[in-house]
Amino acid sequence: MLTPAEKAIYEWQMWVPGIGEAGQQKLKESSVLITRCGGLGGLVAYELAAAGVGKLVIAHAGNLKPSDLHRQLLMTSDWVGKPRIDSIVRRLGELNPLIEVLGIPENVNNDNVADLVGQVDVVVDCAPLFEERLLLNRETVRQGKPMVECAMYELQFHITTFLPGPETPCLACLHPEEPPSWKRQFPVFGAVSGTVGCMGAMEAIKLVTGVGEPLGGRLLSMDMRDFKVMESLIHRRNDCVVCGN
Amino acid sequence: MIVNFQLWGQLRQAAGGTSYVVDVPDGVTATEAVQALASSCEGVRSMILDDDGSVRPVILIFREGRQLETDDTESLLTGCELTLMSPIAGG
Ligand SMILES: [Zn+2]
Repeated sequence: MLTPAEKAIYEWQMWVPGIGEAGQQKLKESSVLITRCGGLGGLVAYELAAAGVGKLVIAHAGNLKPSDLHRQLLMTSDWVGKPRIDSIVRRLGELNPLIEVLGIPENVNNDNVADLVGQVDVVVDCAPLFEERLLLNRETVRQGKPMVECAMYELQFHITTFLPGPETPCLACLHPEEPPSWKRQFPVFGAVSGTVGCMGAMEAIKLVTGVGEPLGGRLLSMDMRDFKVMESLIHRRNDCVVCGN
Repeated sequence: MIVNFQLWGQLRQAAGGTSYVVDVPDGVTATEAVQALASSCEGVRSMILDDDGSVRPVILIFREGRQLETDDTESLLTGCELTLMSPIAGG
């Protein structure tokens, strides 16, 4: 049951057709893993906290650096040199103290991935390294959990959703190996990571509430330099080592 | 014949622009056209091709809004447009 305080906070979004109190209750009972929680994941987490997702599990290691501040909006400039996850949990709690935020000061790795994915209904992949992304993908496929896939570069971004079952590809269908040219640090604006982060949050909300149509089997790409949008059908590889036959 | 490429991801900076045109023999497949692009554009060659000259499986190829398999055997028509996308991530 929603409390009067929750109804007051979520009133505007409950007016969205298909949401109502029942949809808000689904959000309250839902759980989402966000990894990592930087420029991209930070906006996913912020929007999902605002929307009243009942439990956020956030995996993000390391201490805040000055070069994080242009895009990682859950950080504050007085926190440089201190653990990012502490700032993330604090900021989310300030926005919405009615939800549970579980901050893990680690990135996804072989030892924690099964437990992290096992705690949630939906995963949002925001990690910068393909090693982490492919690991998360393998585990979400194994556990049959949906994964929202968000990525960015320069003024471009793309987003898709990998759904359990045979209807959509998984990340390893698209990128079966770690791309040799990808680097941990790359050009991007915070407005780009923020845009795709908000879109990733909306995908998670759609998955939880059943409202709208997730991007299963469709890759949505945008170049914010000229706002060119491209929607492409993507498919499963029969020989995929993760989800294939 | 002419094949027009639209480039996304790191390929853009590597090629020095958002698009690239290659002149290829009539009837080539999409993969052959991609290999021709890699051969004519030094900046993207190692991103697109592996050591034995095959198109890396991480490179996504789209035609008319649909992803193509790297073993797609359909011949291209002159003036057609392919979109190439190199992997990107978060952060
Ligand atoms: Zn797969």
